Amino acid sequence: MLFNSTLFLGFLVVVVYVYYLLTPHYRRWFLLLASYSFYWAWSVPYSILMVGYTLLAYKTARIIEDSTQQRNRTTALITFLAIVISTLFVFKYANFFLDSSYSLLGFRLWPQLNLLLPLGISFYTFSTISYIVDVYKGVTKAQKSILDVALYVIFFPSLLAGPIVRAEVLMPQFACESSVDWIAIRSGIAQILWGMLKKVYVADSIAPIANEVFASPENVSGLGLVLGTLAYTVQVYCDFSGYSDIAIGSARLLGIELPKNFEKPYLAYSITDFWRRWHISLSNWLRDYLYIPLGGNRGGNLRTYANLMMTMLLGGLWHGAGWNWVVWGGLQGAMLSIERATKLSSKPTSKMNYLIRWLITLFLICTSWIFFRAADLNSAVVVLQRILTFADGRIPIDYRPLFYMATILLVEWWDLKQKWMSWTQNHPNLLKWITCAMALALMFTFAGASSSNFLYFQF
Amino acid sequence: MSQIFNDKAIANLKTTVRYIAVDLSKVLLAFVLLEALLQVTAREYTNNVFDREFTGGHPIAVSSPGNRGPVVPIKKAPGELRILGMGDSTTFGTGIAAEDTWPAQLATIFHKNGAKATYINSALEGYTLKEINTVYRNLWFQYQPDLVVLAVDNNLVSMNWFRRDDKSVTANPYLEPIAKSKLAGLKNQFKILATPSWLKINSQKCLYFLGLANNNLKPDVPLGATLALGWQQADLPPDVAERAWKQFETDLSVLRDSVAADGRSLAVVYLPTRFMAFDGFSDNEQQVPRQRLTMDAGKRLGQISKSLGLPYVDSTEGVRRGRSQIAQKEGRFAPMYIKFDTVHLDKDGHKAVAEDLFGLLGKSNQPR
Repeated sequence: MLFNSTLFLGFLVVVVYVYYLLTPHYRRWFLLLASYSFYWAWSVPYSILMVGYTLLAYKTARIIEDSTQQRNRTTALITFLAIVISTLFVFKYANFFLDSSYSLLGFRLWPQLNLLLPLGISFYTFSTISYIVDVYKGVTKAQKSILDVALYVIFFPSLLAGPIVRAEVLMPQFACESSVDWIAIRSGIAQILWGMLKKVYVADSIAPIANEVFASPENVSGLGLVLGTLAYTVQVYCDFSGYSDIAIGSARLLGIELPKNFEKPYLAYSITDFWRRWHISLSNWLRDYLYIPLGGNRGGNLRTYANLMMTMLLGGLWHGAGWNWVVWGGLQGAMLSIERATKLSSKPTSKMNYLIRWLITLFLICTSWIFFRAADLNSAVVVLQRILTFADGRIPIDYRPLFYMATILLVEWWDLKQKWMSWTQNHPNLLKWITCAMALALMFTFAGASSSNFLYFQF
Repeated sequence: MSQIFNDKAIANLKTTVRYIAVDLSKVLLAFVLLEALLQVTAREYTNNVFDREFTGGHPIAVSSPGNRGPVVPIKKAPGELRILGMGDSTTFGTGIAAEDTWPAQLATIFHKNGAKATYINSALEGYTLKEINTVYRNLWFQYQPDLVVLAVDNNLVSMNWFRRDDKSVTANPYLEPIAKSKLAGLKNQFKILATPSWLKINSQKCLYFLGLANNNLKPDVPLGATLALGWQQADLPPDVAERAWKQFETDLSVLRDSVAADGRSLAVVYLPTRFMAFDGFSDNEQQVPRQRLTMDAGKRLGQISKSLGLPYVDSTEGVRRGRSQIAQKEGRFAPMYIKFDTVHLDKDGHKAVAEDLFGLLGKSNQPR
């Protein structure tokens, strides 16, 4: 079930409505049923995997908490990590490593696997890892109720593409004791509308330009590829932040607060700043569960740079199984290390300084998106080559990405989202009619144009 | 057993029902007002039914041999001038009545000029040249038409290319018995309403305007009006339009020979797309980026017809002339195409085509 579908709009209305009619105890069961129904709309068999994750996480957490011996605790943790990471490996990376080893060795180490990537597996794997590691570190308590763990794994607003929420933040909220809070509901609706607007009317509008350009870059001129890259820059942001807005808004309707996932990333003045603003929940996860355990910045400069590189390389690989993702992650790691070495990650001292650094950062981010979007590493190299050699192409130039990019930057600069959220609190009646009009517009849109998947579902 | 619903559930339910009832009545009132407004100002949005039985609200009556329109006896009456119209959905008359299609209007023009003209509209939606030829050889040649005319629109070129390897001829679906559906029947009861069609068409326009719908061709299924115009798209082979036209030329020569084998001559008419015939914003509702078009389909078809020795007329000018004449004589704006369609001509568009064809064929076929 896609967020950008009439089915989801209907589903959400029914779930929220019934949820508030129930007593807290039944709300939890109802939420679990709703979440599984949400997943069943995509696949029933793959939901068994989530049941497995739930049982495994529940049991491991209990063992870690109940065990008095450190060795048993560590064994439980390592066993858990081995199981979930190897599951993720089998579904997501087995064929990638198989193909890579075939290129290198000339023979296949194991037969090709024809497995469908379970939706959201990267996200719920990371969530459960964070829960177990937090229990191990004593940051959070192991849940006594398996229902809470089940809800934590499959909570439908954040199931498919995050935000990746820590157990200590989400689980207490599954008490489901909040009564109808109209301020939160208005805020949730406003955020869903904002997300839908970004996803359906910006990201999906501009997607065909990026899709065409990256599908066959050898036929597109250097300028066309620059504009196609800008189109993707807009698309990836509006698509994913739109998804996050809908997820956060949907959860808020149920009285559950998910953490912010984006904070005006294209206004960042450095790559370090960008990663504080882009996919914040993943950045935090990588910092807390990878970068710091690797040693963080505690082992001197060289060790810090190595840790940054390792974290971002794995972060790149998390996004997708392909060498272009590895290069993309490597680029991020390299840029973060250079900034750290040259002290360029510090706050700008003047407006001019900010402007120059913002422009450089935006340029670097856009360039790195080429590796993120290209079908493979060769294709990314073709794009870069053609841009750098000002190559000619047979496809007419489409300048719309410039308009969209400028609009996005202005909307961020003026903080229109926050203004919209505040405005809706003061105009509840207008919000109601805007919601109805938007729902109608969305229904016509979904009927007329095929609903496109969210980009981050592939991760 | 613990309580399932909270204490306020019943009260909340009642409040919700009350609020929904009030808001729904407001929406209903808005709908009624919009419908009244459209009925007064834009009646063309009513009767917009496209299904097995209706096209643009006009009944689809197909005679037993398979032509849209009246049954024509195989044997010709003395002095009768019989016109055989061939083509695809445009000639079939998508969105218009059978008597408004160009074969019917051409017969009328001949009639006015003293000829006892009758017509057979042998076209069918989605036809290819091979199918047209097969149906001609199997059926229509025995009706001894005096004029055999093929109307070519851009869709015919792309469909002919896409289905170039098809071996069998599609069965005429209108000769199959109608499966009565209660839902379709119920839906057609509301055909008098203008609002649903107004909302549907205008939301589609918005989708094109916003870029949510576009004219890109699928590389594996390159169907669309733009292929014949040399549409350039990064993931489409650059020569696909040229190859489609080459295929068209080959198949057209087969059809020409087929018609010539009966001692007749095939005439060809080109039916332009709306966005190529006119420059206005409203003439390009699907936002076709004209800078991606690299061919003049009318000229290309003219070259092919000339090389095959076929009489040919490009109706682009005729359609333009038709619009300006209507504006001058009747003082109304004539779109010349059915609603939100770039290919299918309306009654006025078909009339313009019929007049062009009469200009091409009339002199040599005047009654003696």
